[in-house]
Amino acid sequence: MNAPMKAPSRLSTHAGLIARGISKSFSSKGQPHKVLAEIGIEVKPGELLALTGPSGAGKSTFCRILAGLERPDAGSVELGGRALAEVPAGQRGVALMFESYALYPHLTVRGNALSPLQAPGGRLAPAEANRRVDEVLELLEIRHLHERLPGALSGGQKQRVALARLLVQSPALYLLDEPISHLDAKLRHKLRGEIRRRLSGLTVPTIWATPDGMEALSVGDRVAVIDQGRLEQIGTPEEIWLRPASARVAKLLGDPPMNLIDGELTREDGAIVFVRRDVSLTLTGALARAAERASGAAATLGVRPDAIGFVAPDAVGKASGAVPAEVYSNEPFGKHAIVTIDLGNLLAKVKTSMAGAAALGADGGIGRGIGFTFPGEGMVLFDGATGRALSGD
Amino acid sequence: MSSIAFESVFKRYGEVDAVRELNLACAAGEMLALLGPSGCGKSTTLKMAAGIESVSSGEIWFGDKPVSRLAPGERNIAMVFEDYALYPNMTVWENVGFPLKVRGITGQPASQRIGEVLQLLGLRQMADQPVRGLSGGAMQRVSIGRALVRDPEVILFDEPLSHLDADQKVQLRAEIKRLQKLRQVTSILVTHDQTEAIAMADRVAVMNHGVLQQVGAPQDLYERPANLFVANFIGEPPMNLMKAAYAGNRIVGEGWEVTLGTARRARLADGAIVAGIRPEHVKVLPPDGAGDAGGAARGVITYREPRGDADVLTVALDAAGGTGGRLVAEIAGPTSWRAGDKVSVGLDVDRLLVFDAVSEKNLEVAP
Repeated sequence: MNAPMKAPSRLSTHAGLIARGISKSFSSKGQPHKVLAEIGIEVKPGELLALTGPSGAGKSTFCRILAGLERPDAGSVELGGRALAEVPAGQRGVALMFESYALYPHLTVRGNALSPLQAPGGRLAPAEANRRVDEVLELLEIRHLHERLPGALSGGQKQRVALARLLVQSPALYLLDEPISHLDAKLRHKLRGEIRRRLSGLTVPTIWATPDGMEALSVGDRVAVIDQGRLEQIGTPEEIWLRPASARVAKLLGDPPMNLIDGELTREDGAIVFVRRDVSLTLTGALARAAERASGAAATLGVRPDAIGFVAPDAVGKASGAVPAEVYSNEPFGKHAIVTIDLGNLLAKVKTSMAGAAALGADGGIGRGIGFTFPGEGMVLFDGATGRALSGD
Repeated sequence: MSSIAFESVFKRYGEVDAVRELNLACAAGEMLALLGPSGCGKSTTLKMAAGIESVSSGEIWFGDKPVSRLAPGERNIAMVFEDYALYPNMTVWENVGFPLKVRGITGQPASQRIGEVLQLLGLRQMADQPVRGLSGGAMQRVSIGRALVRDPEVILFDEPLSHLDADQKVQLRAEIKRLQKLRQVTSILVTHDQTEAIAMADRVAVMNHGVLQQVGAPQDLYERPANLFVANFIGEPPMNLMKAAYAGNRIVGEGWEVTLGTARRARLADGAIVAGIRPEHVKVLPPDGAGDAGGAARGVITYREPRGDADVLTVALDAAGGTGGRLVAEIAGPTSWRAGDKVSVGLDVDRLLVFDAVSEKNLEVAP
């Protein structure tokens, strides 16, 4: 018999995407440089996984491996119940969109959007293909441009054509690498909704990679955060927001993100105190329990911008627990304001009401003294050596 | 420090008015933002102030001095450009000192000024590095240093943040505002980004198609936009704008309805309107909770965007014979609302704005 002898996988399997133990190194100046270290991710059919991390984290390399454009050094990828190791890129059924538009310059908008439907293997009857293209061009609000050539389009319009070319396909996996990063804020909000609505009816897994942590929270059913090639955390947007697993995750999320204050843990009269220069805070409750689990003295205190309070400078002192600081800048945004406070070589961002920011005085109080107070909640302690969140449970 | 005033300024290119009858003043020590989409005339206005573009008619005043016939070099302005425009092979120190050098200021007076500016911008450590290879944020700091070093009467910022990545943008935005306030240098900021304009400027002038739409403090523009263009341009997520009819004391839209208080009725006449309400002034409640919130409508959540401390919900309103309009609500989060949930929606009537459907003007803002 000539049947394949490969034993079926003992691990869970489903029609979605399963990547296990993906590692990859590139050689840089003769030295191997680890880009991905044992990344394991599953995306169920119909699920959208947002993959985020700072630039250079390894997101694009991971996407290229899934698409078959790179080979992993180790690990396996399964899609729709089939192992992809020996399947060439063109036969994986992966609809791919990279940040660069890569449009055919000699084809119109319609021609570009039709192109994947005319490829061998994906060929559709012309009427059906055109119907699908019209529907997607309509969704992306570029139908009126259908006869234009890419050269006559703005950057944002080109990006939408590339998106149309992706969405007309019926693949086994949608892979979007920074699909809307060239667009303005209003259009991004609109398109996130439209794309989500289009994908939510399908039973295909989607990966949406973006360096913008807030975009990841907005679009993902689940969010995976990678940093320096390692999977930092994977979970629902709520889990990631409420319980960031590391300081590296926390600094990607929020507008502005959590303030991360590097300092040391010391003991004073039996209590654990977090100290950074002039700033010190006696830890209680869950934070104190978390501090007991630190691997050393170094720790990072994460403080949410909307939890910080401030008082008039004359209220600074033991009674209020306020630390003297200076108003560095003050930016009103209409519905809330962001006040930047200088704690001495450390700028902390505070999200406050418009009235609270206006009360700081003329010219936003910039340059004037103020008292900074730590909140009762909204703080997380991270281990200084590993950066991982310390649990106070 | 000088004030700047544009008096009936026109800029014509053939048949086209790039800027039409602009009357606008920036007080001494103030930061004024010129905000609008590309092609609105904001950059042309800045270039006329700089003297790089001529004025077709009208006059520009720096204090009590007309400047429209003066060459750029005679106006004592400094510019900060979007692409930094630095000398890549010169050091940070040399770039910042360049305007002094060309004016023949050297030696101790020059060193002292340069040192002071570098200190202010946190560039002391990198004074001897060539600017090539610096981050975008550091380069733009150098360019701001070059503008500040010779105490100009006016600094003109032309899209200073648009080439920076998100982190650097947030950082430098706060920093430019701080410097402007501490130095009290009269400044005009050109930007297409409403966030930058309202965060940084004392007052914002919104332009479209060469015409000034509204000028005011950021909060005025946010709360009392003069027309639909300004209402839609300022705020993120954008204001909900919904076609409706005003009759008697009621506003009736597609699947929603509210009643105005007596004070406002006197200002309005019956007719076709566009109602505007910001997402943070829309309440989302369980389906039976409409009554106590001045509830205006019922509907279904079609899309939920978690934004960390807020959820942005899109609600498709129920209407007789199908679906009515869509409303976007921004509420404190994370919430347990999900797409598909039935809800009732409350509109904060005091925050609801009324625009004329034809003229697109806010009917309750004096022109």
